[in-house]
This record gives sequence, C-alpha cells and structure tokens, in this order.
Amino acid sequence: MRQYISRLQWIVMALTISVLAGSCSKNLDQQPESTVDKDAIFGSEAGMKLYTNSFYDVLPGINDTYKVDATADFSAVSSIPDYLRKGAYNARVADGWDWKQLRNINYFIVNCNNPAVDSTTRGNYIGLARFFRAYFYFEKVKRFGDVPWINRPLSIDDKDMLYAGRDKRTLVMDSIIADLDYAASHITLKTDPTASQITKYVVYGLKSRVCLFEGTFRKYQTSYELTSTAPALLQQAADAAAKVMAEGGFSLNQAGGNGLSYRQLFTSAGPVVSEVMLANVSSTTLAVFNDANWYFTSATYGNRLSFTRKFINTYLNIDGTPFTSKSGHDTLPLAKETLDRDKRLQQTIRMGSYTRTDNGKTIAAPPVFSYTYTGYMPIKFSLDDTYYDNGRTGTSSIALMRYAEILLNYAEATAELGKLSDADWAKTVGALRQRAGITGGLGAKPTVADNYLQTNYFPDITDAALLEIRRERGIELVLEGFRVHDLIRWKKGDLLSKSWNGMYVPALDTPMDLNGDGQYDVCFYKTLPATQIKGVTYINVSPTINGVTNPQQLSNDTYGEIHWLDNVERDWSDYKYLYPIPYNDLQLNPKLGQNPGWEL
Amino acid sequence: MYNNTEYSSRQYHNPLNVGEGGGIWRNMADEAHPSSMLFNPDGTLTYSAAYTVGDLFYGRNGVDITRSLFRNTTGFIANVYKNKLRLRGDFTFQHLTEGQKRIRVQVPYSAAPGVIAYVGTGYNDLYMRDSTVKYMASNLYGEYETTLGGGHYIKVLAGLNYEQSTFKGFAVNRNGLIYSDAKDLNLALGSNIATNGGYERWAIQGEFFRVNYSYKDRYLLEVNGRYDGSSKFPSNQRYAFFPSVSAGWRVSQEKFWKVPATIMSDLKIRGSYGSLGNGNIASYAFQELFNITQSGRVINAVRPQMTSQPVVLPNGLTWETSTTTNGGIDMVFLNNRLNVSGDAYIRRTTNMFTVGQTLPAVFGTDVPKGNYADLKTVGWEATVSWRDNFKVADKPFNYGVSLVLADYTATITKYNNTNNKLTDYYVGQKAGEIWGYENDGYWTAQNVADAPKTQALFKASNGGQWLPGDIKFKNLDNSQDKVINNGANTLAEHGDMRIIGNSTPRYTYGVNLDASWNNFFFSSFFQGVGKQDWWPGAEADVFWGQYNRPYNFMPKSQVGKIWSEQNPDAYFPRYRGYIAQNGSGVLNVKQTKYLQNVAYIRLKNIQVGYNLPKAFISRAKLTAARFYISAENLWSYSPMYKVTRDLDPESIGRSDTVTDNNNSGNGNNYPILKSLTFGLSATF
Repeated sequence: MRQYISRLQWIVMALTISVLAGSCSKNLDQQPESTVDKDAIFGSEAGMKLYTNSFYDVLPGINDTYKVDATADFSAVSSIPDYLRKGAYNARVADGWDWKQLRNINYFIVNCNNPAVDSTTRGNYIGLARFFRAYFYFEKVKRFGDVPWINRPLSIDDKDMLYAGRDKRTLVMDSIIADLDYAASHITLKTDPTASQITKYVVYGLKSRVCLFEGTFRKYQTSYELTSTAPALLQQAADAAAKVMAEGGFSLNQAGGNGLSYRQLFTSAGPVVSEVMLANVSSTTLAVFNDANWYFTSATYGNRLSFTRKFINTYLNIDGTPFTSKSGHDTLPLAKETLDRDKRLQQTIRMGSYTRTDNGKTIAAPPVFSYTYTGYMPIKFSLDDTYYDNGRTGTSSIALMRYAEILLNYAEATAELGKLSDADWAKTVGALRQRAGITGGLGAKPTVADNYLQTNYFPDITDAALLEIRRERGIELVLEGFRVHDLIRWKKGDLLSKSWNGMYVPALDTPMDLNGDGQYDVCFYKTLPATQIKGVTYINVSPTINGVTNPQQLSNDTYGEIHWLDNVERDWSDYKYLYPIPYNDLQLNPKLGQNPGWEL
Repeated sequence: MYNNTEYSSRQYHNPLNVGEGGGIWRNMADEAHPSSMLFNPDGTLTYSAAYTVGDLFYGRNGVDITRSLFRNTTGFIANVYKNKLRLRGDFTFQHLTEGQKRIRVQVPYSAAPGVIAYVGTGYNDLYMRDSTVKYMASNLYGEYETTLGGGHYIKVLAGLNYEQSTFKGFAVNRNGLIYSDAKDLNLALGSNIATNGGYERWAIQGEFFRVNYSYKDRYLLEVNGRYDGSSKFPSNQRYAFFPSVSAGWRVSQEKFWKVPATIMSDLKIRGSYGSLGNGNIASYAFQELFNITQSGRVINAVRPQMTSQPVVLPNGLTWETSTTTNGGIDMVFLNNRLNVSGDAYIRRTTNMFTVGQTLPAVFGTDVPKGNYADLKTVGWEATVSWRDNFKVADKPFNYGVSLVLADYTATITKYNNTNNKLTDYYVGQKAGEIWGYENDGYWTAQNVADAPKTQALFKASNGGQWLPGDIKFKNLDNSQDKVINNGANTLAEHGDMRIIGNSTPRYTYGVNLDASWNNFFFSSFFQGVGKQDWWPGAEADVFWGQYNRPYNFMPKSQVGKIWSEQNPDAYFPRYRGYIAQNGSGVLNVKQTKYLQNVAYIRLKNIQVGYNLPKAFISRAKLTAARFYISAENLWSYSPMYKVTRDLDPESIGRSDTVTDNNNSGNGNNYPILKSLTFGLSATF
C-alpha cells in the first residue's frame, strides 16, 4: 500500500477542494434568468404591453361565439340543455364562479404606477385593463346577478374580502360603467385596421351593449324594483351607440351585394373591418383556425345545431311584409317556404341554390338529416368547401362586435325610451333590411304590431317598432351569442322551454326535394319501404322504435311539422334568470348566499 | 484514485397524427373505425386511415426524442496516517442533453378515384427543442477509524458536500415547410414562429458527520447528522439539520447464545430513528416571477408574447422532513438454509410540500404551495429465502426459493381543512382512497319512472331518457327525497358516496425460484401486487368500448355481458353511447361495480439453460459456454381479466404519455411485450 500522496491525487484533491471552497453560501442565492421581475413589466411600455396582451383571453375564444346560441330558443340540438331539462341542473352541477382573470387585471391596475413611464401611457394601459375588467364583470352579473366587487389582488390573508358577501348588482353595474368611461377617455387607439385590438370605439360599443342589457333588464325584470333607474341606462346605451355611429367610421358591409354581403362578415378570412369592430382573427400563416365547419357539419363532433321553424318564420318576405301573414304559410314545404324571403335567410341556412365545393367540384348541398333535426341547417359561419369540414381548419375570422349590433343597440334603446324617429329607423333597422334585399318598410318605422311576433314571442309588447327591432335583432345577430341574454333582459325566458319544431312534412313515404334541384333528399316513414331511392335519407317517425319513444315525430303523426325531443320534459321558472352559485363555492363561503330558487 | 465514466444515448420515435391531433393511441380508438379499410384499391390511403394511423405508412409525422447522458466521477482516497486517518474526495460531472424534433405535415388520402385530398391541412411545421442539464457534485470528507483494546471499534467521519444543477434550453417552432419531407429548420419558411427559452439553476450545500461504534461485533451504534442548505428556499429558511441514530444487537454473538447452528445461527435486532430532508421542489418558488408565453390569439397581425400575474407566494418555504422509526430483525436458521429478515417502520413526513387549503374562488389564482401537511406512513418489508441441495442420480440438485413482500399505507395527519372538504386533504385521509357511489342493480320497468328525479344529476343518454337496464345507485344516506348526490362533499356529510376502494398498490411481492442440476439450470421470477383498485377513467375506451363513444371498437369481452331484457343480470348496463365519456354520464362517476381489482401476478422472467461441460469446451479454449432460453412476461393473471383481457394491469395509466401532457384516457400506450430469447454465451 502506498503511504504517500501522488501528484495526481493532489490534483484531484485540489479540484475537489476548490469546488467546495468556491461554493460559499452565496451560491445558494440563485436568480432566475428566463422570467422577468416587476420592474421590467411596469417600468416600460413594452412590459405593459406584454402584460396586457394576456387580458385578451377574457374575450371568448375563436371556437366559442357561434356555439353560445346552442341553448337559445331558436336552436334545436341533439339533447335538451341540462339547464332546461327538468331537475337536471342545480347548484351541484353549476359552474362559472371563476375569478382568475379578474385578479390578473387587478394585479396590473394596482401595480401600474411606475413613474418611469409617462402618465398618458400608463393611463392607456390601465384603460385597457379596466375595459377588460368591465367585460369580465358584465359576464359575471349576467350570470349571477349580485357578485362581489373586487378591485385589488387579494392575498391569502385577506380574509375579509375572501369571505365577504356579494355586492348589489347596482353597485357592480355602476363600477362597470365607471371602468368603461375611464377606458373610453384613456385608451389612445382610435382605429385598428386589424379589428383585433380594443379601440376607443370598441369601448363605446361595449358600453352600449352593457347599458342596453341593464336598462332593459331593470325595465322588464320588475321584481328588482329598479325600473326607475332604467331610462338613464337606456339613454347611456343610446348615447354610447350614437358616439360609435357619429365618430367610429364604421359602415355596413355592402361589398357582396344583398345576396352575399351579410355572410361575408362571417366567412371572410380577415375581418371585414368596415363593419367588424372586434374579432377573433384566424390566420393560415400563423396557424390559428376555428372549428366552425366541423361544428356545423359533423354528425358527432358538435350538438347538431339547427333552427326551429318558429324562428325561421320570422324572416320577412323580400317585400318587407311578414311571411307569417300569408295564409297557408304553415303547410309549405321547405323548398317553397324559403323562396322570396329576406336574403339573410339564404345566407343563414342551406336552401335553394346553395352549393358547396368538394375537391374542386361544385356539389348540391341540401340540408342533410345526418346533421339537422329540423331541416334548417346553419351555414352562417361555415365555409362552402368541404375541405374544412373535418377538424379545426376553419379560416374565417369570428366577429366579437360589429357595427350592425351597435345600430340595433341604438334602435332598441331609443325605442325603449319612446324616442325612435323615422330617421333613426331608417339608419338602423332600415339600413340592415336594405342590405338584406328587403324592399319595403325601410324609411319609416312600422305602425302595425305584427301578430305572429306578439302571439308567439312577445305578447306584452304593443309597440310595433319595438317588436320589429326584436325581430331584427334575432335575425341579424343569430348565432352570434346574444339570444339567451336578450330573452333574459326581456324577461322572456319561458321561450327557452318551448318545443322544437322543424320543417313541414306533407306525407309519409313521399320523398322530398329540399332545395328544388329535382333530386330527392329525404323521406319520412313509419315502415321502411322495401325499395329505397339512392341518395335519399330515410327518417323513421314512428311513435316508438323498439319499444322506446322516438324523439323525432311529426306533429300530426303522419304529416305535419317535425318535432324533436318533445318527449323530454323541459322546465322554465323565473328563478332561472340567474344561475346558481356553485354549491362548492357556497360551502367555501356561505356568506355568498344562494340565488333564490336554487337552494338545495 | 479512481475514475468512473458512463455514457448512454437513446433515440425514440413516436408517430403523430394530424387528423384530429392528440395522442396516436387514443386517436386510433376513436377514429380508426372497425369498418374502415386502410387502403383504397388504387393503393392510396382512405380518409379514415389518413385521419388516424395512416401516416405511419409515410412515416413523416412524428416526434423524435433524443437523450444522451455523460457522467464522470473522479475520486481519491488519501491515507494520511497509518491507515487510520483517511481523506476522501470525489467530483462528479454530469451532462444531460435532451432534444426533440417534431414534424407535422398534412397526409394525402383519396376519397374518389384519382382525386387526392389531405388531412391535417392546418399542420405544416417543424418544432425543435434542445436542452442541457449540467450537474456537478463534490464530496470531501475525512474519516478516522481505530480499534481499541477490549473489542471497541470506533469510526468518525466528517465532510462537506456541494451540488449544483444548471438547466438551459430553447425551443423553436416554425411553419411553412418547403416540402413535406423537410427535416431542418432552414426549410421552414412560414411566419408562425414561436420561440422559447429556459434557464434554471439550483445548488445544495451541506456538511455531514457520522460516528460508528461497535463492541465485539455484538453492539453496533451509528450516529449521523447533516446540515443542508438549498437555493430553493428563502435565505432565512434555507438551512436545516437532519440527525439520525441507529443501533444493532447481534444476539447470537452473546455468550449466553447457546443455540446450535443447525437450528439458528444468527439473530440480529436492529433499530433506527432519524430524519432526512427533502428539498425537491421547483427553483425560485419563493420569488415573484412573470412567465412569458405566446398568446394563442392573433392580435394586431401577430401572435404576441404575453405575461400575466405571478403566482402568489407561500408565507414561508422550507425543507420537508421525514422522520423514520425503523425496527428490524435478521435471522438465519437450519445451517444457513433458511434466511428470514424483516423490517417495520413508521415514517412521519412533516412540512410536506403541497398545495394549501382551497380558498374561495375570488382569491383569483392558484393557492400557493407550501409546507402545509404532515403524513404518516406505516410499512413493513419481509424477505424469506430457502436454499438447499440434494442428490439426484448422484449429482447435486441445487435449488432456492425466495420471497420478498412489502406493504405500506400512508395517512394525512395534519392539514388545515376547515370543514374536512373531500376536495382537499383531510386529517385521517388514506393515500389513494377512492370515493364513489354504490351500485344498486339496474332500473327496471317497474321503478324506472323514479330515475329522472333521484338521478337527476346523471344522464343515461345524451337526450336524458332513462330506461330499464340503466345504472341505478344506492341511496346510502337514506335521504327523504332519495336524490343521489355527494351531500356536502365533506367527511361528515358525503351523501351517497363512500370510500369504495384504494389505488395504492398493497402487498407488492416478488418470488424467485431457481434450480440447477447436472449443468442444467432454471430460474424464474414472479412479481405482483396483492391488492389494488383502479377506476377506468372516462376515456378508458379499451375498457368501456362503445359506452365511451358509440363509434369506438366494441370489445369482444363485452359480448354476452350487456344488459337486455333476456339478460337482465349482465355485467354491463343497457347499451348506451357516451355514458362513460360525458361529464354527467352514469358511468362517468366512480362506482363500486366497475371498480377494477388490478392485483396481479406476472411471470416476469423464466430461464432454462444448459452449461456445456468443462471437458467439452476446454478444447475450444473456452472457460464457459451456455445455451439458454429466456422469456419475459410469459404469463400473468389479474382478477381484472374476468372483465377484460384487453388491458394490462401494468399499463393502465395515462395514455400517450410520450407525447402528450394533457393526454386523454387510460391504457392507450405501447403495450407490455412478451419476448422470447434464445441465447448462446461463451467466455474465453
């Protein structure tokens, strides 16, 4: 055994000792390099921009907007939404009590005070933050009514705030409006050629939306005893919309003529920025796509949304008269009833000469019953090339706010205030109808209340113009995510529980041509015929199939309107105007209190 | 002086699909429809094939994962004084390189003769990721040992330790590949570019000592201590001291031990008590940080970078400590033929690093993680082995049997949970416990009318209809309204739920059998778990078949086991699509009947062989040569096989773990393979 230390050993020893000696305790102070600290964020405009980019996720996602109306009264879908199915929805299954985005915004507002950045710039970004806080809280108030108003990031020890009760909706709405006013006066961006950023006029647009909602909510939801506060809100809605109309520089898209202009807004790759004020932008080059085609054509991916006949009936004749005033309209088959209507109908559902492209070839595109339950199959958001049908490949930008809505907000608020003039009518509803090819009733507001709308939709409304504004809103903004909350603020939630009717079927075992191209498309039967025509979808409408109730039947058994899911019991009660506070959240903080009617 | 160098390198290719995206195994389950063909008559892929597995045929879409590790340890032992005082030191350097290259391009198919179309048109990109972790560790310690008169032995050791690890990485994604076979970033020309950086460094520094004392090999005592500091903790909570002590008593060395070796030759009783620190948490967890990511939205014509609120910091952060009390016994019987040893321990983990009590949602961000819980683990381990030989045809027959058996349970002993909510840890909670409902047969024509009311929280079909043969749950809390729910979801009030099982593997065991005779040899190794429950998740399509999605494969194992009027006692309920997959589906919730017993036994390895006789091989200048047959995973059994043989109890975890973090489903992974090896080995 060696009794001495070799030269090599000395080297290794020296190495080891030097590593250990060098590792004094300062090595235990490690600083991150791939993340940044507070000063970097709030000490420069670039940092603020970096942070505020995250606020955009408060907005609905690119695949969200066109699915919202799946729970609306005009949509027949694969199953009755749980919210409306008797007994299926309660506080235990409730959700939506999520506050992450708010804290993210409040953290920014509270910390954005670094004097290294000038006050105008800081004001701009705080304005942006407050716009998104308003957006966030508007969604919360719509869903839950009273909610806690929180304007700073809470810490674990903020027990008072964490376990506080809810604030009155009046306080929250006032705060939302204050945020929007601040945003409107501090956001410096006035126009955005990409329609993807928050401009001053997007703020005014949201203000008109918020104030119209709250103004009409307080007017019609009388149990809150806030009716006296409604006119001021409606005036703010009208004023904000007027501001956009006067200064925003937007106009209705007319580029495609009255047969195409409307749908261009929903199928263009880039947002049609003359009309679209804010959009979720798709981009092939940036690989950002939507799933609209998949959703609106797949038999399995989505919930097979199609429209009820009751809604399709509200589309006017091309001359501006109600379709439903024509006698015998209710027994017309689809191919006939869709003729000579408001040209938005042909831009909203498959009908008539609508064709698609399949591998470069033009193909007929009647409604297909592997998708639709009613016959009225949406095309508003889907592209015509079948190339886009499978997977998330849609290349259209999805509007989140467009000028047409602002016009309708203006018209409705003004009409609710009793101030709607013929000139107001002409530049709002008149202009929208004109774009849709309607020839009559454009210049002056109507004076005769439509019987169909009153009977089927709004029996309490006698103002002819207001009824028409509601018709117009339903048609123009269909599938854009407004409908359910329109019904809520009009206190017409009962419409959500009505049966889903579809197209008229004159007789069993008689093949029908749905788009008038001479080819049969669908045939309804109780006993499957021995010989079937190729290309025709056969639909069983027997009362039962294998002993089980058939959800798809005809209203008069062997003829009549298709009815879908009449066998499932729906339920509407006025307490459903507000969602329940999720049970788990209520348990974490009992002071929140449950919305009346949702107690377990 | 010594040096040890190690190098290893691994490459792994995992195919991808660009039809629907997501994991390839899971996708096959959903979209590779049983009725679809792979190829058209003209040799092109069908749509269904291209959508799912088809690109395996072209082999372009996929992830290539590379990993290489270089590790070198150099050390020295310096004998300073008379072989009693020694200085030891070592230095380890480790360099880990990991890379990933992912190519996604569209896949051609044909739906009409002569017409080529593509799936995955949204995909056309190359993603490259590279990272290195440089790790070094160094130890320097001195030891002194001496034997004193009268049988006293003492050894003292003290030293220093330092470890440091530095991660650096980057990732780039760019679209617009110039052609679909492109393999380099230079050929990606698109404008969708995403870049990611990455850096992390942590360091641990410690001092340690150890004192050993023994008296005539009869009494053994060891005292250990470590004083550790870690960069992962704030400076005021950075250091902690972890002592331990252990003692042993070799009873059989005592003078009074008169037991003959033919009965018992060795008896040793051991005991220890001590603590160790665990600082294995993310670096910088006590600092307020803004992470930068890329927005998924197109804002002003780009997908900008963004950041958002930093995570909230815990009030304090320090070492997690586990303190173990261990008792053991080693026994040798019957002339060393029978060996028995056993250990039992209680480990108390204090300051366990975990997420804090759930706060009201208005808190608005994740509750910080901190040293919030205590856990008690009780376990034992036993080894029994038998080794003997006897003569068969005048030749020795050697054989041995050994059994290793272990078990543990862990219980939460401290956690601040105000109402004992079942969504958080609660005091008394057993690790792995599964809460669920109890099945109560199926609804029948007589009582199905009650289903919409009592099971309103569930659905037996998308449309919400209830029919005979649908799942019925038991009203365990005997509530008046008979509605099935989880009560307040607290320990005191859990409605109709109860603990229905536990996912912790219990009674894990291994059995070795070996024998040799006349140059023949045999060995086998069995391994298994004695008790374990598993709930097939919502997307475990291999288990649920079309109850998951109606267009999945129908497992053969379900044939004859599905409810019908003629078969009302079948294992599976009325045939319904989506009820396992949908959030409120009646098979989506955990319940007793479909909880699987995934205990198993597996013959991991069996080997039979023959050693060529010495006389025979010496002529070939060989020192040894053998033929053998070795088989892996040849046989297994699990109680779950009574329900399905399509799942393996060792592969029931998350699907597509190679490529997906947010994977979907259970059991869709590269299967456990059986393999058979014929071998010849020769030693010169």
